[in-house]
Amino acid sequence: MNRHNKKLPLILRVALFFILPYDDMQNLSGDFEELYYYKRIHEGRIKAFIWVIGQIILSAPDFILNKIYWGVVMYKNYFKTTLRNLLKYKLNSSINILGMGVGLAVCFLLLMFIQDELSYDQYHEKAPRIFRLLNNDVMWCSPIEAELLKNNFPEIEEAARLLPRNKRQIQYKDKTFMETKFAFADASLFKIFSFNFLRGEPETALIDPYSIVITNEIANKYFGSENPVGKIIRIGNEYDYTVSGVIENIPNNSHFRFDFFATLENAEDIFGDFIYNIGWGNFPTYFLLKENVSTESLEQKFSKLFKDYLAERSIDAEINMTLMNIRDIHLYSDNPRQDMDPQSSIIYVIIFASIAVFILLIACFNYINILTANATTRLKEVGIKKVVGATRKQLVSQFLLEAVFQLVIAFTLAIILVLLSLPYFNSFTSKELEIDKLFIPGNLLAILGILFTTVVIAGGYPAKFISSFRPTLILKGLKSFAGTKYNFKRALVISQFTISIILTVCAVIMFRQLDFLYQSDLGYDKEFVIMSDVIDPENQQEFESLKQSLLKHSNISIVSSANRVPSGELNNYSGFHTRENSEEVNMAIVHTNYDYFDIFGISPVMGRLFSENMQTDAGESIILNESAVKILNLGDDPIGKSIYFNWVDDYRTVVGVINDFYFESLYSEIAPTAFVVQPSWCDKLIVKVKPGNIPQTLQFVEETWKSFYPEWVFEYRFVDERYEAEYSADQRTFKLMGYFTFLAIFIASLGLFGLVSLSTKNRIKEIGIRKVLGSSVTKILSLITREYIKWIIIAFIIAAPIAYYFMHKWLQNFAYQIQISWYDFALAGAFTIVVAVITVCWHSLKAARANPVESLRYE
Amino acid sequence: MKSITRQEEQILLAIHNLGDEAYLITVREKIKDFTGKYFSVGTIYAPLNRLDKLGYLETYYGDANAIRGGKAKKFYRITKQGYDALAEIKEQHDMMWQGLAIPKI
Repeated sequence: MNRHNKKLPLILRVALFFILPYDDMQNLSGDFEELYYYKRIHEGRIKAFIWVIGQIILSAPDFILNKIYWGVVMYKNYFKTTLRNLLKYKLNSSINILGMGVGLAVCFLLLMFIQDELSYDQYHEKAPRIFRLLNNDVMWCSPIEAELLKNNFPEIEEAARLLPRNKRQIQYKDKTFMETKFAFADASLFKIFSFNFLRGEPETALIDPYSIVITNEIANKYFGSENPVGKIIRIGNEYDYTVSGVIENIPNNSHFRFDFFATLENAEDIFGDFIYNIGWGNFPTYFLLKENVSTESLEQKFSKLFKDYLAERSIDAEINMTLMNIRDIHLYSDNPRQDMDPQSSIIYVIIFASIAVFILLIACFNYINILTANATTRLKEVGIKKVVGATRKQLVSQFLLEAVFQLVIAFTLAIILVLLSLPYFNSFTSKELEIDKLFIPGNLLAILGILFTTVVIAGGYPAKFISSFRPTLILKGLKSFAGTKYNFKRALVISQFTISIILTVCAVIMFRQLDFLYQSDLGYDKEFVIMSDVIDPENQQEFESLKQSLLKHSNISIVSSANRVPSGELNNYSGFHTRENSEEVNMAIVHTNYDYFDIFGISPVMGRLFSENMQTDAGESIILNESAVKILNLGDDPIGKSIYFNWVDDYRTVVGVINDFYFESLYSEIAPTAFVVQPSWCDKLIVKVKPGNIPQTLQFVEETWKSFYPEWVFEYRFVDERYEAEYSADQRTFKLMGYFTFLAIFIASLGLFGLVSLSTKNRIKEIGIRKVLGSSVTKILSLITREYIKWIIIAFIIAAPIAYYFMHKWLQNFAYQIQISWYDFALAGAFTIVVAVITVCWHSLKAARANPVESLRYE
Repeated sequence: MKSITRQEEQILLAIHNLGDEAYLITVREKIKDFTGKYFSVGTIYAPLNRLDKLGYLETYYGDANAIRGGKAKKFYRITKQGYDALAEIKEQHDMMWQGLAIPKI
């Protein structure tokens, strides 16, 4: 028969190619050819064609179902083997999963943290155009800059000032509380920032004098379910304000979070002429710029304008104004602690990101190492599988599946760990992170990327590796894995320990630095000083009365008051210059009452302190610290010299010089500071008490205080507590660093542990022989551990310079730093070696002690 | 003993009947003789494949010719397990059908 022109048409053959199962492709094609041939002969070409099409359509479902069925069966089998393998090597599997789970959990937590930090102030609609004014990198401006600059520059669409006043007593009907998040604001503030108004209108909320906007939380606290709008609340027992709007609580990721915004429309009534005082530096100022405005040129124009403005008023000062976008404030401010709320720094974000990457790397390396080592013990299994006919594809997919499976379990474990630790992490970082923040699209991509890479490397690497070996060699035992790819494993372990050592060194140095900060002598006594409020500083007679009443108690030694108390921020600045040199110098100014310095144990190095006996002190005297004397170039005998003081627009006479002390904290250099007597400005009460029976003394203070201010709430703090709080941020970082170091070492040790257990298993025979030949347990132990110690030393050599570099940079944050010493490195190195040795010994000891008869018996 | 479907049972019996000549096309014809219907290629193939993997059938190749475009035929033969399975089915069958008189309603 002539076959050539009766072949199955090409189209149909192609169709068949897609439908038919791979295994039986050949004979089934042949069957179709045969059927077509006979159909064609008997019924003709067309009918045959149609018939085949019919057959294809009818058969397709069956073939496809058949494929699926066997696919499922195959995967059931894979699944079974995977599970079985997992359980067989329980120890190794759990180490792997644990290590990976912990690593992933850490990464997730840090991912959430970083993401939160980067999101500050992003939610404002006009955020790209909102800037904060900085004068010489200080965000505390005078009240006049906002209007001055807005009037002169059309590029500014809106300008607004804030005046944080922090503590105010608020009263509505029968509810009276001392609130700490109180601020005044220009009406235009709400045109700039996008706060969500639940009641009232942003545009008009603060236009009327004596209007105030409150947050939802406050509304609930004072008004319950009543509508607060239109109601009157009493502020500071003095002023009545009408609530004109309620906003949603300001989100956590904002650089200021006040509960009250009182209008500045009636500022003159409340502050008098001071609202025009250039020297009053308490006003964060914000600008909404028009689109596409260049900030650099604007900054220069601002600086020039303001310098000229001051010059017109005979003030000679260096003005360098800059604009910072609000989204950068949280992470890039020069003085994160000097802000309204403590801000953070991009450095921390970078540190945490690096730690996250490090720990994940360690965990991944572990995973790969152990999986690879594991695979080598299953050589026989692989050999047999290959002999029986497994394709490379099948072997690779099996290993990949195992890797994925373990990773899935690790992932679940990680999520559980995150959920468990989130409350602690939140309180630790003072945030309110939630688990669902983890799963936003941006993060998911990162997470998937991480997991995918791990799977590909951890699964693919051993798979590819093993599947390429000739089965006969494996089965005959001629090919063993003892030495192959040893370098890779070694490199991985060394990198893990390098990272661990870096972290340990950093932890040690951080600890020393913080300890140094705590132990350092601040130059004044902060113990046993209680701080409270003077409700009406203008009424000095009342204050005197209070003072005398308090002093009656035997436990109370000194009573005074001030505007700024050490351990707090020096937020008042003003311009000063000497008679000789009219160039103004910006310095901090503290308004005090008499006996201020006595409370803190500060004595003058020159001249005297303020005294009630000297009538002139109140209006004419000024005391400087040593730095102030230096910066004003007053020379060796400043006593009696005249200093011009911008705030009061007048000259004062220097009556004393005190030693420099750390008013704020050791984070900053000692600032040149001036002190004047101005009791009417001193709203903070300071009381020095004797040690012993403090609660009783406190109670007495409270009762006395309340007798003078019956309608007010008594609040107090100890000055040394306040001081400690300054360091809380770094304390936390240090603690976090400590935890992470521990984790890193833990994971790295896990890895070493697994590795050692495998390698000692392989070397049982060798050890047995050595023992037979007369080696002692100790000698064998040292033989095994020697190798690993070498690795640690290499890790140390690599880690040391890296750690040094990072710590050197970190220490630059501090005006006063410790010296990095070799001792830090020695400590870290020794610690790591000890941990590593213990890890290694765990298995090695067992192996070294094993009875050689047992180990060699197999032979 | 794994249970088999009715179709698989029919195919086993068809193969038994065909003796040495049992491949997909002849099995399909035989089923036609039994049941009166032509089933599609796929419908015949699926049970054959399953029976093969179950171990009730063994296969051998032969007879590549021009008509088939040069591709070999895959012949099927029932294995011992296959016959055991058939015997078991028959036993069950006889037991269940015993004494059954189809009522004339």
